[in-house]
Amino acid sequence: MKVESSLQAVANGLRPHDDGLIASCRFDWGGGETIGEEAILEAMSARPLLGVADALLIQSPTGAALIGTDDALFADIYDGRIGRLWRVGVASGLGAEPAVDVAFDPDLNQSRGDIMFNAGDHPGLNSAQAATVVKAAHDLLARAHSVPLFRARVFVIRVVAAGPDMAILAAVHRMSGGAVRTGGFGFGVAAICPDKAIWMLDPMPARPWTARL
Amino acid sequence: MTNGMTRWDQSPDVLSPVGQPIAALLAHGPHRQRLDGFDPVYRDIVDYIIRCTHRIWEEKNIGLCRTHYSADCVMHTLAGPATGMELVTQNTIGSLASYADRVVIGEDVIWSEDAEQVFYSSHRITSRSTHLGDEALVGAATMRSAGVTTIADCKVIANRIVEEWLVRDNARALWQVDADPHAVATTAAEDDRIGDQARHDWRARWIADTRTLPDVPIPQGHPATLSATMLRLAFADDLYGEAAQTLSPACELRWPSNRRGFGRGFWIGCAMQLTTMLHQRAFRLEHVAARPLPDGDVAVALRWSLAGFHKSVGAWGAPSGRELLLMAVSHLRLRGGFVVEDVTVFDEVSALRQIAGGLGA
Repeated sequence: MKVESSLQAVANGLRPHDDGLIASCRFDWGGGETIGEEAILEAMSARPLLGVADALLIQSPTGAALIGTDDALFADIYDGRIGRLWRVGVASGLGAEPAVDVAFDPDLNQSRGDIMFNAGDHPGLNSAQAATVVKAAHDLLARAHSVPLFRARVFVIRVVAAGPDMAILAAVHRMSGGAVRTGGFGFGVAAICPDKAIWMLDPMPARPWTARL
Repeated sequence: MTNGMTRWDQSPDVLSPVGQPIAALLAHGPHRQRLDGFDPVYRDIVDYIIRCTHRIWEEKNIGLCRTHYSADCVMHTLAGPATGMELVTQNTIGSLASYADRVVIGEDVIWSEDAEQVFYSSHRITSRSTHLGDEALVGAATMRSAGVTTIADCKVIANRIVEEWLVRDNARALWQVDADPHAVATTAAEDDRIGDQARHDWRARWIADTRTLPDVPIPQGHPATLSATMLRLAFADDLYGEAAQTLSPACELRWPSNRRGFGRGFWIGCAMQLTTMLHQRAFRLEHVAARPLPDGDVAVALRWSLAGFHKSVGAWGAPSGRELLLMAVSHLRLRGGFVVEDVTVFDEVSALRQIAGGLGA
């Protein structure tokens, strides 16, 4: 109950009760990030999550996902408190900072990787749940490819398993097709329940590429 | 352990600040660790670091620097060593005059007891503040929101920091207040070339140490062993693929100047941005520490230095031919033997300053 009310408060840009949002909480939203209660609530109050009252909550002792109408909040949970937070599905309201872009090879192999998932990163997952994660990640990848792309890769970074329900947070790297490519990292969420499945993906990153300071 | 050195997973009551609300971190209570000569208010070494930072920076009791730093303490940054608690005090006043509303958010304190009652803490801080006051480096107050990550490595004896190594993501800090890292670095380099050049000898000595001294020894079975090997494989041996096997395939990377990404390939990309520019490289591991985290994870802190000749074009622009020095601290989160998170901090403005001819021969 506490996690749910804390997430709902944050989704509306309000301060949760009882230190529900830890002071050192880091917040990723699209290509932007910030840290700390004031900055997070400033960003969320400017653009609250839509559909909070009817949002789907999937929660475990160490993680939670609140799936709204257009976007979702995903959280690391420590002793019932939000310790890390992601907003996924809509363009970032945090503002883009300059960055040094990094040239990299996502696969380290001629054979394409597509899904980067290490079940050992998610203690407590059984083999059936791990298989569900892989399938959900492939479904997320397929949705990334619903627009023409040169490349997409899914890095599974969080899994919340609660009975038959499961929520997955992934970093999604996309690179557009064409002679001059654009792209970068965003996030995606998959919520898999017995009676429904929901996928959300950040908009395609479109910031200019600058591999120098 | 011998010589009073504490095993990395001893003192389980001394908790990491990860996942704890600030009220719990600042709660008063009984001692959880022997701290000879410390102010009795401090419950353990993590509490000392978190609470004294809070008292000095947030409660604005800056004069506490005089009881928390030794008279001859040396603070190492790549702007040169700063010596003495009075300088620390004055510099802190200066920072808070410009960024008065700064909150100093402690993300982790990874500590070791390297000899009996000789503590070493690696404190990762991300601050949030507003640029409210004028300052020498960037000029007039901009009222812009600011906040970057710093890692302060401190050697602490009897309530006093006797030596500190500080790395800060200064390029990002300058961007946030609409300043140009290249312009700031060039101005600093021009100042460096004026006056007695012997004041910059520390840089040559540090480069010589990086090139000649061995890595700090790591106790057998210490969790930093694999991570240290990872750094050496990449920065000394150019075996990037082998090094990256230490990482989870979905590892999260947060490096300076907003390099943020995921996966082994991205880590290799970050490493190679440095190694492509720096020829005849030398790498040295200077310190390691580790502590348990919630849910069975392990936090590892590694302080390292890199020296090399700037002979190729890259992230820092056209090659200057100068021999450059970099000091970095990496905070890694291990799970099931793999690195699942890497937060590495170094000061790239200091690199630009060296490239522009600063900090001595």
